[in-house]
Amino acid sequence: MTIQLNNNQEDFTAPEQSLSVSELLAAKGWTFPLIIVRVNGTLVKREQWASCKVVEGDEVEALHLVSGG
Amino acid sequence: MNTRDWYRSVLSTKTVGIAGCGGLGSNCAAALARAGIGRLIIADFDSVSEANLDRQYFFRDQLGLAKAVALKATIGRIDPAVKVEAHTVRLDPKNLLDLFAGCDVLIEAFDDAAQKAMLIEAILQDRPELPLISSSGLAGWGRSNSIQVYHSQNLIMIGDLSSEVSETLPPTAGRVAIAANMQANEAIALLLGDKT
Repeated sequence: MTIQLNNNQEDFTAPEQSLSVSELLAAKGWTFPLIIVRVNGTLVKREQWASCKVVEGDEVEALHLVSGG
Repeated sequence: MNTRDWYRSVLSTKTVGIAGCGGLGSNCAAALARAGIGRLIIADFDSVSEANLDRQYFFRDQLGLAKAVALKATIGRIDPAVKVEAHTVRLDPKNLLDLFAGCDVLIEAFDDAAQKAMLIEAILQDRPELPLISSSGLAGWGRSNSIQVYHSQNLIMIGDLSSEVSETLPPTAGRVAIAANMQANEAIALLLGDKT
């Protein structure tokens, strides 16, 4: 399936035509402790990552937060 | 009206909230004050320490003062016309919504990543229409061009999204102030109706 990830078009292998947010982050190898995830503009909190499904055409943003200021 | 008078007259009617008065918040506040912002709502629980002087917009004679109080005094010296509401408080998901309720733009200027996440999640959940300018990834020095502006609807992220502060990668004055001034710059553009 093809989605927009951080404003880039990317293809993912998804046998069931969808991936959970957790699976998507794992596929990218993103294991940062603090990430803000939005799917089609809506905040998806960490406790929803396993249940929230991403499908073809979705716009996903995953923003890594690190300390410093 | 010439363009300088126009932008200053527009900004003089606007309110910006700044969550955190450290390296990001203090430098951002100074830039917004110089640009003629009408009102600032600033908040920080901490007080000025000697180590803060390596990058934060404070002065040696302000050591020990609450940061929000010291920053208010400094802004008053830059431009006494800027109204400053200073809060010495530890922000949480509840009090920040009340404290920044009247803002046109909110700047996330915390140091700690968990605090950044707390504020961003609270705003995206309860005030998604409020423009929020956050920052992530500004540690170290050099690599000026790696500090990017990332737009996600009403959320703007500034930084390289990867350089985390550590023992071997401390924050330094130039790079922190670049990010802080980029936050101020994006706020000004939003307030003037320039979304480009």
